[in-house]
Amino acid sequence: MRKVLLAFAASLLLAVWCFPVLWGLITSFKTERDVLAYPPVLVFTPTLANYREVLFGATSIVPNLVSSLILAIATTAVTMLLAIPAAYALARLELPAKRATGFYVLAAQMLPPVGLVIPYFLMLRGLGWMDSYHGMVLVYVSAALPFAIWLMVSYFEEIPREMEEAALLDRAGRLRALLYVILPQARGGIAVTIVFVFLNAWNEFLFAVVLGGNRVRPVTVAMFNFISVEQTQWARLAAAAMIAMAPVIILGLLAQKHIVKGLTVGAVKGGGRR
Amino acid sequence: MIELKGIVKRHGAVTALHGINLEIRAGEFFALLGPSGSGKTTTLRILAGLEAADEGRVLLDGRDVSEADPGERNVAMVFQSYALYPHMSVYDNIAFPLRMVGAPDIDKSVKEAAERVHIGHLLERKPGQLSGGQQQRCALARAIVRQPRLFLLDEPLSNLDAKLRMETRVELRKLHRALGVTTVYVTHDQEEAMTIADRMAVFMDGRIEQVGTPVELFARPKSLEVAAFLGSPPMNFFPAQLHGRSASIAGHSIPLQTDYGQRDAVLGVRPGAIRIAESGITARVELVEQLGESAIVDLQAGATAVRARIDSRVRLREGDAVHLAFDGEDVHLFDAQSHQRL
Repeated sequence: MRKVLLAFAASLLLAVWCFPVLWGLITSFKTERDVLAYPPVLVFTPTLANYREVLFGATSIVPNLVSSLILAIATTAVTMLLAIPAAYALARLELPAKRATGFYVLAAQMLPPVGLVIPYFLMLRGLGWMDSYHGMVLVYVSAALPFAIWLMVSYFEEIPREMEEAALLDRAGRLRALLYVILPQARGGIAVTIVFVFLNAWNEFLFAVVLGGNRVRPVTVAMFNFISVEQTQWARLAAAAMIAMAPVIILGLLAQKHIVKGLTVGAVKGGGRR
Repeated sequence: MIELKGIVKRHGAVTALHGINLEIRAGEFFALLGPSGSGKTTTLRILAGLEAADEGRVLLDGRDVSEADPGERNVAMVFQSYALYPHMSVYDNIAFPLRMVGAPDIDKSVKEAAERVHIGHLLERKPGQLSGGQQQRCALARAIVRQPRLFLLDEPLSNLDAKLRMETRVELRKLHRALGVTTVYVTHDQEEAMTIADRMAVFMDGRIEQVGTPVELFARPKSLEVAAFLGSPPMNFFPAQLHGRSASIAGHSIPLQTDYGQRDAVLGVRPGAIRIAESGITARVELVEQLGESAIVDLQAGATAVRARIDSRVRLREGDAVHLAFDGEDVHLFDAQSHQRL
């Protein structure tokens, strides 16, 4: 009985979560006329015209997908390059004001992005970096870095200290101990962090719409252009959304095992904290 | 030779080591023995360079290495947890220290080290696929493969079951004899230290109480604390009054070999030195533990609990009233205040 109730509750939640996605999926195969029909039609002749249009038509989102990909990959690469050594240092080294630094890192995550968008705008304009990849990546990295560091710290703390002590005695030195002994053991955590950072950059809209432009226009902003004053092209918007969601879902499935494990890090064991 | 000179280590407000002075001779198998929290592992970690002493110096073969990094000291360590690299095979674990210095003939050295500890057939496995004993051997192989000048073992047997522990003890001893490398061995198990070490240091509360061979320490413990820590079952202690060449305990007089004058003392006697006699200290049998050849008997002599190891053929039952006797030469006397040996 308990199981049945749990299953029921789970399927209800799943249904609530799935509904917009399914609705979007169905919409993406409809003609604009079917979309606007009232009452909504459930039986219709599916068409691939919307996909054809958003991929190869005048309003193709392919350049925007490329733009998103460049932004997400560059953001992820830069963030990880900075986050890994920073998190390792926070997890391991006896640093003055370590606690305060750790808190500051997390506090930066608490600021609402809306509050930051104007300062970012002014800064990028001052630098002449508006509508540029380096400017956008800089902004994305500053947003992603605190979270990435915070997540990685917990993974590094899980690894027993004896590991690098053994490596130090084996004459590896700090850097090689990190590269050969610590990082391979933290690869699950690194994978999870990469996925989160990538997805946040891929899905980002607010900064992109304000700080981007004609040169740098990620897919989230491009999708927004299907909504205009005269009309909203629901079917095309849905098709574009489905395409934009694909990498997110694929990445999510690939990293599923690590993500679930990652979210419960530190929940059970005390870890390597000493 | 290893010398520790005036090593002080503080953890915040707590002083873990109060000025440790110790000399370990070249080629020696030396045990650091003490209860947990006595500072023996901290001493080992300072020797390894994993922790820095707040005061004092560490000398290896006359060279001051107090400031040297762990990698510069050419010491190898086997951790209590083994600290094997879980993502590497046994082969790669053993090869790691050689690769780090670009040693020649890595393959040959790895296989030799593995054979020496009988894990030559396990080289392809990951540490997670090994039993506790095999992991321990892998850790040993990783330590011996680069021929360090000092070998540090931090409670290496504590995660093994009793039988394996005995076997490994013997093998460690053989390995030491074959390699001749100075070995420092940390343990809280006095029996382990007694059986394995050439010499040992007993740690208590961040101080070294006594240094010597196991036989010396067992026969002439310098303080009541050392006497109580060494030997199993532990030594029995009676409050005693000394009058010249005799000691009186529980209204009973024991002749002594030396004149100690008039003073209060604590008289210690090992369980094996006590015998059941016609006359002597009156005691009541509380519990008899049969060990086969001998039996451990728990007795109550007035207010003092006593344990005696007696011949198992002597039939005793709980509740029996007996007399206990021992010879003056088997007695250890300690000052009642300072607890130092008289």
